[in-house]
Amino acid sequence: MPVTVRYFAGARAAVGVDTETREAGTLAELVGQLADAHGERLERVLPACSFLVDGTSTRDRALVLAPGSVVDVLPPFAGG
Amino acid sequence: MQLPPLVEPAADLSIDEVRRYSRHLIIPDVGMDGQKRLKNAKVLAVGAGGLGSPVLMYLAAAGVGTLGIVEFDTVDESNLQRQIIHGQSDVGRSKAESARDSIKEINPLVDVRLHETRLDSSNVEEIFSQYDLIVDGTDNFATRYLVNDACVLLDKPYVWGSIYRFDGQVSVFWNEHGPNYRDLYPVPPPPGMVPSCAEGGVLGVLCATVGAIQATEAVKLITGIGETLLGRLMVYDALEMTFREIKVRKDPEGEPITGLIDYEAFCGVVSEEAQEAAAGSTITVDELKDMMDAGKDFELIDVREPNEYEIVSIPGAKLVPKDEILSGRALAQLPQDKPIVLHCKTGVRSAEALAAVKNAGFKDAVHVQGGVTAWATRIDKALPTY
Repeated sequence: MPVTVRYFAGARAAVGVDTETREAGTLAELVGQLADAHGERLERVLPACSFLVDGTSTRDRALVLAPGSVVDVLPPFAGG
Repeated sequence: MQLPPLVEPAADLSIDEVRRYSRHLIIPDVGMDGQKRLKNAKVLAVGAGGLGSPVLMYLAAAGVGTLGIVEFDTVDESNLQRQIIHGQSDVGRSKAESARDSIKEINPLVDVRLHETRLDSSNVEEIFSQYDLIVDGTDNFATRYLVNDACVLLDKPYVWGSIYRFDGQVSVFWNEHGPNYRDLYPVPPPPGMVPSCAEGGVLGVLCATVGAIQATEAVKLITGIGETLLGRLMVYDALEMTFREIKVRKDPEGEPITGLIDYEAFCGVVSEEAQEAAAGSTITVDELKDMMDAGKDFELIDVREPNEYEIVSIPGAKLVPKDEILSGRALAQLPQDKPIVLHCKTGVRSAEALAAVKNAGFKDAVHVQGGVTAWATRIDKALPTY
C-alpha cells in the first residue's frame, strides 16, 4: 500500500528529503524498510522517534497502514 | 483550535497602561478587553533559559500582569550566547533574580514571582495551581514529562517549546480540550540517545524564533483570539528555513495520567559518575553480536533482577544484579582473565554498574547501549520487550 513518509528534524537531516512515498503493509514493515533504505544515520535516530500515523502517535508496530496514510517520523529533543 | 479566553478581564486599565499598551489597544482583536485579560493573567515560565528569556521579556512587554519564574540555576557565561534576559554583569547571579530585574526594566507594572527551586513531584502542583497558564522551556525530558503530567492533573493548558541545534518544535497541550505531550511522545527516548543542548549545541537565535511563537500562543490563549497550536505541532528548521506542521491527535490507546511518578527513573537519568564511566566504554548491540559471532572470549553480565532475566535475556548472559555489584558483594564473581561486558534493560543500570566495576579495577569493562531492549529490537526480533 502506498504511504507517504514525512521526515522531521534529525530524521530529515539523516535522509536528506522531507517526504517520500513507500509501499508497506504495516508500520513494522515500513520502519524496517526505512532503516534498510537510508542506512546507519537514520537507523541511529529511529529508536528515539515518534511515528505518527495520520496524526496519532503509535507504538504498535503491527499497525496496518491504510492506503494513502501519512506517517510522520519525528525525533524528540528536550532543549530549552 | 479556537478556544475561549483563558482569563477574565481586569476591571480597568490605568492612564499609564493605556499609553503603554496603545499599539495593542488599537488592534480590534485585542482591544481594551484583550489587554485587560493580559493584565489579569498569571503566567508561569518553567526555566529562565534560552526559551524562557524571550517568553518572559515579550510577555512582560505585552502587559501580562503576573509572571512566575521557576529556576534554581545561576547565570553562566555560556548562557549569554542565547539567554538574552541575562547580561554580562549577571554572571554568577541567580537566574531568577536576574530575569526579574530585566522584566522590571522592560515593564515595572508586572508582578514577578520567583520560585527558586528545582521543580519536582513534591512541589509542582502547589506552584502550578497559582497560575492560569504554564510555558515550558526546560531542558530535560524528566522535567518535561513532569510539567505535562502536572498540567493534565490540574487541567491547565501549557505552551511547549523545544530546541536543538537548528531545529525547533512548538505546540500547545491541554488535555481537557486536545492532546497532551504523551500523545506526541508517549515514552521518553532511550537514555543517553538524545543529546541535550549542552552536549550537542544550539543556535542561539533559534531560542528567539521558538520562544516568540510560545509567547504568541500564550497571548492568544489568554485573550481567546486566533487559532492556537492545540492539536498541531509546528516544526521549525532554521537551516532549510521551513515551518512544517504536524497534526497531533489524542492517542485513543494512551494510558490515562492518574498521578505523578518518579520522572528521573522514567527517563533513565544517568548519574555523572556513570556517564563518565560509560564515555568511550559503551558498545552497541551490533558490536556485541559481532563479538559473539567472532567467537571472542568475554563475560557478558546481565545486571538486572532475576524476574527481568526470566522475561527475556541475551544468550550467554550471566545474571549478577546491579546492587550486588554496587555493594561489592559480587565483585569476587567477576572474571579477572577476560573482558567484562555489562548490560541491563536500557543501559542506565549497566552504566551505574560499570562505574563500580571500573572503580574496582576492571579498567577494560564496557556496557551495552540500549541493553536487552535494543538487542530485542535490533538483533533478535523474536524476543519480547517489556
